[in-house]
Amino acid sequence: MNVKIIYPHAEKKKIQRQDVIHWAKWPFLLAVIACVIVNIAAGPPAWCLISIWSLWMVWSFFISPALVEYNRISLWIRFITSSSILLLIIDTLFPAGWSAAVVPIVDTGGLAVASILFFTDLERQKQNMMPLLLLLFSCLFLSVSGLLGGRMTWEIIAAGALAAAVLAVCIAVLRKGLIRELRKRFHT
Amino acid sequence: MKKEKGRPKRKDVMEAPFEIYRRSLPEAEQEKLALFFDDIKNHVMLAKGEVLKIRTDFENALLYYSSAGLSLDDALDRLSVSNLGGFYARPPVLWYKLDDAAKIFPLSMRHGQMSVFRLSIYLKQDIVPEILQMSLNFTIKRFPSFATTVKKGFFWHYLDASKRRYAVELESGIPCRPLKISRSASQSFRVVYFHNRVSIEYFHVLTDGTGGMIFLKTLIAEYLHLLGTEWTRADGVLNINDIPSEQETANEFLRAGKAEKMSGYSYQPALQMSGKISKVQPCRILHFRLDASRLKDIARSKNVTVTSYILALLFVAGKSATDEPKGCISIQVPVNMRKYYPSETLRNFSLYCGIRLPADCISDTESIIENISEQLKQETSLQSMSRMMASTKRMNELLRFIPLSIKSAAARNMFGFLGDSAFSNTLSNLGVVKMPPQMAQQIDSMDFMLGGSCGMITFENTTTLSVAKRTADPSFEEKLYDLFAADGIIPVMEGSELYEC
Repeated sequence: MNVKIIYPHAEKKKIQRQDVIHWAKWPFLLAVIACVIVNIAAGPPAWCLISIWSLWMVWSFFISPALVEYNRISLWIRFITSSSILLLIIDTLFPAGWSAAVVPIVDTGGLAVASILFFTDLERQKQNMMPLLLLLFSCLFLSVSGLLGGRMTWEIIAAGALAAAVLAVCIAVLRKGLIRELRKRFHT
Repeated sequence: MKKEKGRPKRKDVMEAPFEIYRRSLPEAEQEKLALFFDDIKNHVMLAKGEVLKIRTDFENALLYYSSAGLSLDDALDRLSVSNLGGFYARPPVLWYKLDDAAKIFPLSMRHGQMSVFRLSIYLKQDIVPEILQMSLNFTIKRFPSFATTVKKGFFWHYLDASKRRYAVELESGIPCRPLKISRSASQSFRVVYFHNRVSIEYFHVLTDGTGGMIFLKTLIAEYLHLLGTEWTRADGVLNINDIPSEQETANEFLRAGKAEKMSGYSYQPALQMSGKISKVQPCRILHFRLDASRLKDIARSKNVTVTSYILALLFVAGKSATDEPKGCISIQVPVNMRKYYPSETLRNFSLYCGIRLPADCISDTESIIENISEQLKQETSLQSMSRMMASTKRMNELLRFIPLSIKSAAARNMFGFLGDSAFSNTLSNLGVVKMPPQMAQQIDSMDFMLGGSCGMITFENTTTLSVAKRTADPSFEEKLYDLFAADGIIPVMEGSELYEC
């Protein structure tokens, strides 16, 4: 059976993403299991949650990144959201109360950067509006919760004010586009 | 002499070939050209880089025409800017929900694993890339659901319109390799050329074989038109300047009746070919070029269809490629639902059935062919396929309010666990492809390839059975070759090198 070769010679990548995932999977799983076991043996606080969340962040950002919508804005907002959750976990496990100030500051900074990325390349980034809206609503929710809980610090006011301003600009600039984007994102 | 300061301008160093050509033209023609490029500006309102790329495409095509001895008037006529329509001038506002068959594809994909299929046409002449690029620039507007990028919604993925220049590339990688769809405005198909072959690789989320073939035929028709072939519109070639109809992007699964119970999705493990699964998928491509009339005669002499006959050969070849003594070999057969529900849709409108035989019953083709033919008739009957279509619709309805992140995780694990082991192989037969006679004269052959399975297509008197191999073990194709030879069909073998040993 003689086969006439009609395809070009294909250079194979030395390291493929799936190989990295295949080899990294076991050390990551072992690290998670080891953290849980050591934590159970050592007793509270449950610091293994911090390790597990950190490992998850490394995994999802560097080892196995998203297959759909892996763009600057969504990546940045996922980073801000994951970091905020990590900060909340640390402050919950080792209570010092700083997260009430730090998380709004991180979110406000994150929202500012995301807004710059969004509005400086509006035509192309319109399609990536959803992560920005999610962070924006999270900041608004944070501010409303602060208001209702009687904790109106400057960080919470700043987060709420920036989110309200960005939302207003989005509505003014995008108008129907905003509604269309929401309809797309929440279709069933 | 005073030395000039600063960096020399680029055009001082080397003048672009198009600029040399432009300046070689008489003044009247230069003016015509200037007006022509002004008109392009009015038709292309994309980002600066994209505008430049499209302008360069026009320049390259004009240079090609000039080298081919075509007058400027004729060249400008063929490249008429009106062929761009309003596609590049309007902002992207369209979006499409995924059809019911497509929903599983983005859910089940993993790094290095994606449902990609490929259609190729081999012309009698080598491809002119400049003209192929222009034909894609003109054709894409006729297929708005293809000019999209996959996006994530809260409950489902969807296709979002993406206005950009869609590029053709010289083929250099492994066929059917996954597409990168994660970046902003990424395309979900790729057009590649190599010598006399034009291939389009589609992420299955966009379309099925039928829709994909219409796009390829229309692209090639436009390519040949730009090269001066006139043809009458027929046989599934669309007019690139027609307005796309709503039916072409319809989700035809909505026509399904109500499902009384889920059917067609039962899971039973199937025997797999022995040998180490290659890390590179597919690890080799093989095309069996067969005499179509001889194939038809043999199938007729056995009182079965060509698909049943090929299936019988695949079962026997499959058995020779496995060391497992017990279990069932199961071959998945995609079914074009347009046969039962006539439709113009270019989206996915196909389902599948499974043909199953115990391995110990398989000895030669004669002993199993009747059973296969009977199963195929039953499994692809209107009632059976309608039930499956209704089940597909029902399943998607049940899952509609579950957040995508939960569905994704569940589907990825389920698919990883079940998807690879439910079938031993797949045979997708696209059937006989017809082309307008003027075009057919310029086409040598076609092929159809599914990542990791078998695809079949017939053009004129050549049936091409393409095998995308998952293991390096050659016993499957050697047995298949012997079986064809024993029946008096000597396949002409073409293919790729082994990508990984």
